[in-house]
Amino acid sequence: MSKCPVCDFQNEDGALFCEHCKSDLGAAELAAAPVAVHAAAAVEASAVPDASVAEVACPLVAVAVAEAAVSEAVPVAQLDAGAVAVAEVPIAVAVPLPDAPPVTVAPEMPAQKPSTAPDISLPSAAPVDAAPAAPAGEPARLPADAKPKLVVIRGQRMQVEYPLYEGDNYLGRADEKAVDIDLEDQEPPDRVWSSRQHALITYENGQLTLEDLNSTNGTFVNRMRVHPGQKRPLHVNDVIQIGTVHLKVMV
Amino acid sequence: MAAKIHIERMMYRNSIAVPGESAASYALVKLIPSGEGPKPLGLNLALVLDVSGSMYEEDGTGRSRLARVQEAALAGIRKLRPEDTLSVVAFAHNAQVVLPSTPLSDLAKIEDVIDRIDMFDVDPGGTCMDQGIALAMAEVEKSKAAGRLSQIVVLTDGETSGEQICRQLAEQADQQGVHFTVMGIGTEWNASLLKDLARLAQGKWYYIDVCQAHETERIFLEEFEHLASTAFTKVEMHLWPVKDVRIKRVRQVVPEIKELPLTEPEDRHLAVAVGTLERDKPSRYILDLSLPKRPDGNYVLVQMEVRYDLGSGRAESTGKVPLQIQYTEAGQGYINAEVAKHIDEIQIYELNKNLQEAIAGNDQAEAQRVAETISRKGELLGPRGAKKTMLARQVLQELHVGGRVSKKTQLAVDDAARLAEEMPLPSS
Repeated sequence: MSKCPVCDFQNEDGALFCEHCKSDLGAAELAAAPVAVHAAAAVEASAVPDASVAEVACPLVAVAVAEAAVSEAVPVAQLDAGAVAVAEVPIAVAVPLPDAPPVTVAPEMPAQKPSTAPDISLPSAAPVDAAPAAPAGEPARLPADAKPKLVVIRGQRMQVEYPLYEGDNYLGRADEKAVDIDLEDQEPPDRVWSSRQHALITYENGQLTLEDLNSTNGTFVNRMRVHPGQKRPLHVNDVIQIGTVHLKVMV
Repeated sequence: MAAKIHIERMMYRNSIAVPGESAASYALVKLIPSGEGPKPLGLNLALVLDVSGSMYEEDGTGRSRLARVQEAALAGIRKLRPEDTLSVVAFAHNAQVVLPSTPLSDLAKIEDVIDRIDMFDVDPGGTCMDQGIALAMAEVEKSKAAGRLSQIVVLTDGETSGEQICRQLAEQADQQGVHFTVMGIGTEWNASLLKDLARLAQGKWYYIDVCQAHETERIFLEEFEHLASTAFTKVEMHLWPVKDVRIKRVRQVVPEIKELPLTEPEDRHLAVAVGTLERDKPSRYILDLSLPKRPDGNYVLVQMEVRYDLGSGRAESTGKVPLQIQYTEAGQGYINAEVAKHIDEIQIYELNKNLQEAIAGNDQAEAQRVAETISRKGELLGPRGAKKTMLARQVLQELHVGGRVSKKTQLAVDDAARLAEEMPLPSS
């Protein structure tokens, strides 16, 4: 139970406003910084609505089973290092026990890898379902079923996520022309620095690209300015800044 | 393909962690009419109009309230079809059926009665809305037929005698499948009575601001348009929460915010009376849930089904669909922006209820505190909350200057608080 700071009424954890005086409740404090596990959960989310059984086994089991089959069927020598890293780790992690540790610990499992695999040095551990860590300079290609999104890490409403769809995604403030990602609610009303058609993110062939649309105050990625006309490729965990709003690229 | 309703649902967060015994959560449910254009239902209407002395006031417009209502009614009935039927009841000190139930094909006769409504033998001193409603219910009963929507539209500008009878009549109407629409014109009518009547008879209430030039006509047109497009009736949302999941309340948020009555036909089976739906307008609802602690995994929280009648008398159904969520002890999932917006709007609506109580109870300090909270919250909504913010500021201004809030502002705030703003997000 959480106590209302204004009227002391006992509200349920997670309630957004007090049942009695209707003041805001800091439901945000329940939220630990959302962790990479949600990358995994989100990717499987599309499969979830179709299941109508009362309890569906942790979705990662399904992934692991599929990948385990792949790695056993294909002679190891033919897999490049990247593929092996992805295929091996889930086998160790995806134990379908109700009290299995959360998936975030996936990278720490090499000790349990099955003996069928030869001794190939794994690239530095990356979260299971995220795009493999990109070698420097090469744009990361997202897997075909990835669902990229922007997550607000600084703004009036934190942790809100905006999905990025195939094709063009316009960022800005909705006016006479609609935008796909409306920053209106994220900027403080006295410091509106975003333009109406501020920036454009294109998602094509697994590749995210950001372009500034001649905005008044500019668009920044990881604190560096993206100039109008410059097509800046985006990688997972890049932070885009528009005005005072920080958006992180995630899958 | 026959007309039907399509259900979409999403949680406030698609994955949650419950650290304690239980946690509150919210779900957004959208009902979207689909399939081949659903046919609007035939209408069986009654208009119950106040013709008491105060209806002759001109409010500075140069035309009496009654004249404006006559004009608005004539404009409204043009939305009706020849096979719809209309009856008209006038009330003041007594009540009279000035036009018995007549098909719209007889338009000339109907228009003539509306034109001459001030010339019937109704004593303008005093108001007996309860008698007016009773007469209208009898007229509507005569023209009732399967597949027709029965609706009584009541308009008044003042207090009435027989308030308790009015409420009883509304309950009776609901049992008979007749809906009410209530319109309060000016500022002297009893807001809590009219809102009660709308709620008891599953209808809508309107506030007609007499200082706005064409408000009466705008509202009549809006309501008649709404009636003429109704295609789904007896709409009910059925919910089967799984063990330990509790549904605290269900509110409609689009087209307007209101709490919906919940009944429990059987153990762990809840039924929500949604009312009627228009043929091409989606509606949205927020469910307030209480979720138990669970181990990590994906769980169905509630099975839901929507039943409705297309006018054939046969109950149609969407079939059961699940509402699901992921439990992850590691941390909360991200927030769905659409759901968050509607919850903000609900918060303002709830704050308004507190404000109305504070004003009615003459609690100036509380009214000020609540108005300040609404003003701050409205600001966060940006231009979409502009009207609510402005009205909250007006309340604060009036309190500061005169220590009280004018009835006009009070009504305007009440009216604005229940309107959700449309959201321009890419998903439907």
